[in-house]
Amino acid sequence: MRLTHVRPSDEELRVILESGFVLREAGRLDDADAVFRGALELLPDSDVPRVALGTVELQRGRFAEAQALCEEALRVRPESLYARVHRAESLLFQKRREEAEDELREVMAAEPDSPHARTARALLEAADLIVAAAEQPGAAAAK
Amino acid sequence: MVNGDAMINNNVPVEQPSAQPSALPPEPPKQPGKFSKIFGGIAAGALNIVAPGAGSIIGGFINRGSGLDTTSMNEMLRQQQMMSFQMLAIQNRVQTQTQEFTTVSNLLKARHDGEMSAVHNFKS
Repeated sequence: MRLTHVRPSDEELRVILESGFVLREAGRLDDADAVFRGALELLPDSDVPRVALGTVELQRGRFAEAQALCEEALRVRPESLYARVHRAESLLFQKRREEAEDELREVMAAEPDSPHARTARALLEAADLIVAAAEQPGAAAAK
Repeated sequence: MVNGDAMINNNVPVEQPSAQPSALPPEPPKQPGKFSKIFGGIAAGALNIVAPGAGSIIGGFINRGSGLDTTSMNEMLRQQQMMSFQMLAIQNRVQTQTQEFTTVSNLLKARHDGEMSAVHNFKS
């Protein structure tokens, strides 16, 4: 049986995605990557697994790859604030601070009360720390 | 009538403090009283809370029952000033670290909330 033949319910997909985040937070980045790639096969038209893969790349310190994945998510779903916030985060880690801050302010203006706007605000507040962390060798996401 | 009051009765010789060397042996240096010892200990403890280090010095002076000369006073002030600077530096560092911790903690929480929101609202 191929993965494309599997039809998990939305609830099962949520559990798969959440398990990927748990693995990422536990530092098991390869396992998290495998889970999100599997989720991407099951959700080819969703921004979520792509951005999630981008956050794994952020944790690995591969910021350009993270940005590329978030941009891919934006091609699939251009209105995704989730993708925009994490694209901005990858820009911050690449020390492209002005572009990142513009993007984050746009996210905050688009939906001020959304959780993504709160993430954008928190990223703006942590911008100094993130840029400083990015300058250290072997830099990874603020964690 | 005999009046014993020297101020009134000029005939009564007034006892004047003598500057002549006394036949008695010289007095030993003044030892701290019991009160001084106890008070010195308490003062040292209390001042160590306010200004670490300075309390012990001041307490020591009280305990010994001696006065403070200029040199030791200057030394004490210098030490106290140095400790104050060190204390301020430590306070600044702690404050900065607390601020950074709060910022990172807020960011992690916001990211988590954002991710959970994305997971719960995805469209398959």
